[in-house]
Amino acid sequence: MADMLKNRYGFDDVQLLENATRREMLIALDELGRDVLPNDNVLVYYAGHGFLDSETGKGYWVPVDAVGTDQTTFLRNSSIRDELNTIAARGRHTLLIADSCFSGSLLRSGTRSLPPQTNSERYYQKVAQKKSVQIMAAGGVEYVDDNYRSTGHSPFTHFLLNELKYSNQPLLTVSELSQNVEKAVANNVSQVPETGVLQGAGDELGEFIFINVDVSVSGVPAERVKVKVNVTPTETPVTPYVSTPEVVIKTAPAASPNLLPMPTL
Amino acid sequence: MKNKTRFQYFLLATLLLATPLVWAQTEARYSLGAKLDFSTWEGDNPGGADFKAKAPMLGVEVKIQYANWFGGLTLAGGEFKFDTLSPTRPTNPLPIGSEPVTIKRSEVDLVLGYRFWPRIALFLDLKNVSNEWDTDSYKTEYNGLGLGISGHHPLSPEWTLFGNFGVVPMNIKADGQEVGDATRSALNIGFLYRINQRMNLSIGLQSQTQIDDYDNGLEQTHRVSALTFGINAAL
Repeated sequence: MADMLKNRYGFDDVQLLENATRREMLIALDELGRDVLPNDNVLVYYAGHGFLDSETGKGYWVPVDAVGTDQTTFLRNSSIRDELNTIAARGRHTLLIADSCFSGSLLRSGTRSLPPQTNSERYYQKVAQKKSVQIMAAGGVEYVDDNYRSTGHSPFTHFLLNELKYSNQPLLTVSELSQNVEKAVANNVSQVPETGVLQGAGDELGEFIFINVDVSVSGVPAERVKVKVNVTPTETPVTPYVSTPEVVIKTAPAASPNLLPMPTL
Repeated sequence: MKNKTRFQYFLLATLLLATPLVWAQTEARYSLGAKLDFSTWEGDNPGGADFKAKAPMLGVEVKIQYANWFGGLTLAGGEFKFDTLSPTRPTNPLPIGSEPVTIKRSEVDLVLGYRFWPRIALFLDLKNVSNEWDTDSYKTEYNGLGLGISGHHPLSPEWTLFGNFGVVPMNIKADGQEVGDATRSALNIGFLYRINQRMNLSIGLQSQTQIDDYDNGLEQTHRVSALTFGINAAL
């Protein structure tokens, strides 16, 4: 994911956390909130365990140093929302992609219209100007597979990467991306990703837009092809992807096959 | 029987030799495990008389996993004390009405498997079962290469259902002499509890049925059922 964002979509400030503890995750989110500049677009991607307390309805991310079902060692959705609120208050566009069980418990419903077939340039200009605080979640309140077709990814991340990799659109909004990913996931596994907004974080129906910078021009060497990412003429200057930190946390699946008892006969 | 056994060993050796070509490309993961089986060994002797004994069996396992491949070794052993009737020996039978018999039973499994689907694997098990009578060190040995299927299904972030089933054709040796063939089928099912990222507990039920077909025309049945407790930790 980190390579894809850097190489194909021009993310130039990527922070990668692997097997992060609760403290490391909170510190990274806190630092991110402090570093965001007014026109920054921020993407936070989480791949790891999730937990939902069925009695209280509270959702959590489960860091590597979590102890059993002790929820005090998990990262509460409310804490994540607080951090996202801080980030969103400072930046232009904020997108959280959560690939974990019960990740849908993070979001509230909220949809965007897709770009019109004609005059789509104006649409992109319009949604780029408006503030957005969006969440893409792998599943609603359900368990999600952690090793789809032995790819090492969940179905959600598998199809998300596919979409980002093979999309031939120069501009790709989260609404377009999520619609395609949701379709692909729902068509292949019994899981329905969800997309929405973070309630109360100042979302103005804007759109986080992925700009494809991996462009080839026939007859021109690749190193000479440059894509200017802040080309959208706006009243307020918007510089997409100037600072786009990413938090990628990889944890072992709930039942790591490595720790299953050896099958014997 | 000898040719069949050679082929089985050749097949497993081929797979073991082929595996490192793939393993060289990424990181392997290792784990250690221990288990305690509360086992009941019972069965029917050729004359129809039943035998039955209970004993705990202790076991250890070491496992290596690379991508979709896994393999490893398990050792388990226990002593079963038969107070009245014990399994009839295929050769050199004990006198009827003899003293209670204790049989040391050990099992060795060399396993190689491949996860064809994320939660389903097929595996080969090169198995050795050894029974030794305490009275005169009389020994029967079963060797064979079995094929099994295993799977798991997460029920929650902490609990996972797992199980496996398979069949092992085996040859039987008594005091070093081949005396017949056996067919063993095994079913294991259990629940795994995730303590943390690196450690799991498991509880399960095990059921094995083995039919011994001796060259002298007699047949003997063994059934081993067990309640198993295990712990596995990543290295």
